[in-house]
Order: sequence, then structure tokens, then C-alpha cells
Amino acid sequence: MEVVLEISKNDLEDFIELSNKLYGIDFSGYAQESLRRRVLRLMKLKSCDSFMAFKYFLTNQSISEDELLIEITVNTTEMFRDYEVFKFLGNEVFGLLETYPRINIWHAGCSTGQEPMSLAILLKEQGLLQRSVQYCTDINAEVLNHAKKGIYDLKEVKEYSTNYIKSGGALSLSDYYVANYGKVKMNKELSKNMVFTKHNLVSGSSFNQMHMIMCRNVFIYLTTEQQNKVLRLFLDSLVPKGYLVLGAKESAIFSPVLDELEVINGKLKIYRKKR
Amino acid sequence: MANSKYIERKDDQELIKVVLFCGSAGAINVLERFVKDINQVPKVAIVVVLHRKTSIQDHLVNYLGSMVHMKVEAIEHGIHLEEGAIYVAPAGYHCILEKDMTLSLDLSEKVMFSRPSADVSLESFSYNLKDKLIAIIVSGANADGAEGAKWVNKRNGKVIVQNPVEAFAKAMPGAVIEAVEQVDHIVPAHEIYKTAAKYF
Repeated sequence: MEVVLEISKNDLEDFIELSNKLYGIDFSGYAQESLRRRVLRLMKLKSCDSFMAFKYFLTNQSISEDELLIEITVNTTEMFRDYEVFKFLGNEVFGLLETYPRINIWHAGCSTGQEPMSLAILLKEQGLLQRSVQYCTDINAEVLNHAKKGIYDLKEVKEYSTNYIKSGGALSLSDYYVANYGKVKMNKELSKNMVFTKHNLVSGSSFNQMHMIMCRNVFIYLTTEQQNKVLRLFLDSLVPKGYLVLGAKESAIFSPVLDELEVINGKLKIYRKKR
Repeated sequence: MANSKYIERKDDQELIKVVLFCGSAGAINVLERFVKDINQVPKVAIVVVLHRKTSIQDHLVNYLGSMVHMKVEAIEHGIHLEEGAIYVAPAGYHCILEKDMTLSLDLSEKVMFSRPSADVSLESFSYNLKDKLIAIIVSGANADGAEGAKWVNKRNGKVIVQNPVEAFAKAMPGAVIEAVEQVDHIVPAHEIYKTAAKYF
């Protein structure tokens, strides 16, 4: 017989409470529908055919904190996703960043690091890599380890080539990696100025003054309330006239802090702190 | 807060009726017919979830907007559904519905090789809307939508399927008819709007 899994709103609340108590992970600021789907997915993955069984599974600590976090959060990312954004940064934003002696960039929720890597390539091509520091943070230690290694599937990286060119890339993406056994290792030079730190956007604080913050496709998993908190943190972390880049389908328009931001490109979700 | 659209939202807002239009290969023509058949602004929100190529410029939104006298909007994360408007899901994200009638986007794994996936949207919308959901599944070349339509049916929503005989790609509507014990209507493209409108 086919097992049809379903969980109620109360079940979801129980899950949030259990994760908090037993694993010290607070999912209460997560958008409900995504969270419900992730919980269902994890239940199927662990062959729990009822929420009762899943609670038993969690209570017995049959999963590690890291695994729970990685299975519930979504870590999908690509290089040069929405190439228009990277093209705009290269053409319109880098020229202004160039005026700073040292450029601080924060990738908030960097996942496995494809986005900092993409930016590093464009920074290098404009001669800015040497004086940039890219702070790469994520709540998830495991994806950060992956990001640090800079090793990706060859098949996957080949798919990024077209977007690299469309972003205004001057060379060929293959100039930036060495391929072996179906994997690629990105050139060491690209990650030399990257700093990887575990950081929780929801509870964490500001750690430096940034000239640009990229946080693409993190807000889609947070409640409006949490988004506003994180936006506040970003505003506190940006220098006056610093840039904020959100995901292409995310918007700061619903936020009460919008008035502190200038819209640089509404379609690409590129904002700038007013003062 | 001069230019801020920020509104405090209550947790449980009143549910509205939603039409969820799903399709893939060959679905654009059917959607076009559906939109042209709208004779007066309906008291439902229409959400369009089609498999298509990723691009920031959304031509479909402008195209649909030129055909009908109602609001046609590209979906961004967090927008609030309103009656009398058409919402088009972007390529590259799953589109799900929160209980406060706002739409969320999600980058989790592809389902049936698709993102957006009809299965994901149908399940999520039906979870929060129950019998207030009218699902339409038209032409498409894979079985995405069949699992989701089962949920719609189970949760007392309506399932309307384009007759596979006349569909450009039969697989998607065919799979729904096979999966759901009793779909509510199997109709040709030119009768889809009329059939759905009975429930508005």
C-alpha cells in the first residue's frame, strides 16, 4: 500500500520545538511552507511513515545536528546564476568599489561557494581581486567545508560556462579550474582572499564594515519578520553608499527599512544604503 | 515609510478561491485561449505555473497582460494573492502558497525534472486552500502534476484536465487522469475557462 504522508500545523510546531530543545537549532523564523515540505522530505528519507515515528526518530537523536540542519535547509546554488546580475555588477558597481583601497564583500548564506567563486573571477578580470576580501558565511558548517575546498562536479561547472560568458567573462571558464576524474578544482588564487566563517544570520551580529553584501535566495526561506531583522543587520554592516544584492525574485519592498535604501536596479534587486 | 509597501499581516487571513493553471510543452496556446475567454474580471486569483526556460525578463507576463483587462503580475517572493488578478510563476523556482495567502518561492530539488514543478505547487496550494482550489492541468510532456492532482482531489479541490486527445503533449493530462480516481472534468481547451468559471 502506498504511504501517504501528511503533517499538520501542530506537527510542524512540535518539530520546531523538538529541534530547538534537542538539537539547539531554531527553525521558528523559517517560512512555513518550505519548512513543511523539507520536514516531509526528511521523513520520507528516513522512512518515517508517520509524524509519531518521526518524533521518535528525533527524540532518540538518530540524526546529528549538522545532518538535521543540512537536510532541512536548502543549499541550491550555481555559478553566475542570473548572469544579468553579474554583468551589472561588473559594468556598473565595480567602478565604484574600485575607489576603496580595500574592498570588503560579504556573501551571507554562501552555501557551497559558487557565488563567491563567480564574483572572484569577475574581480580578477577587472584587476580588483588582490585588494578584495570576500567574507563567506553560512549557518551550515558542512557546506562551508565544501566551499573552502572549491571542488565541484565537472558536469555542473560546464553548465555554468554560457552564463559566465553572458556575464561579461573575458576568458573561458575552463581557464579557472583544473579538471580531473569528473571533478574540477577551482584555481587557488580565486579563494586566497576568502574568509569562511559559520554565522547565523538570524541570531548573529555584524562583524565588519562591508562595501557590498550579497545575500541571494536566503530571504525566500525566512518569515517576513526575520527578513526585516536580517535587513537591519545588513544595514548596520554596510558602509554609507554600500551595496546590497538580493535574489532576483526577492524584494526589500515589503520591508520597513526600505526607506534607508536606494533602488539601483529594481529588476536585479540591487540596492544601495543611502547614508 | 514613504514608499514602503510594508503591511503587518495577521496569521490567518481569509482564504480566497484560487485557480492554479499548470502545464508544460504545448501549454502556452491553451493558456492563451483560457485568458481570452475571460469575459469579466473573475472573483478568483489565477496562478500560472508552467515549465519554461530561466530568464529574468518575463515576456509571458507582458504577453498575457496585452490580452486581458485584469492585473497580470510576475510572481516575486512574498507577494499577496488577490482576487481578480493573474500571477505568473518564474522559471527556476518552485512556487508554494503560505496560509496567509502570500506566495513563497523555493529552490529545493527539482521534482519530475522540473522547477517549478506542478506537483509541488498543487500539493502546497491544496494543503492551504482545501476545497477553495480549482486545479487545471493541460498539455505537457511528462507526468509532473499527477501526484499533485491526487492531493487536490483528496482535499476536495476541483481537478480540470485538458482532454489528452487534443493536447499537443498528452503525457501530463494523461497521467493526471490515470492517477486521480475521478477527475472532475476532462474538456477541450476552448471549454476550460467556462468549466472552471462554474466554481467561481
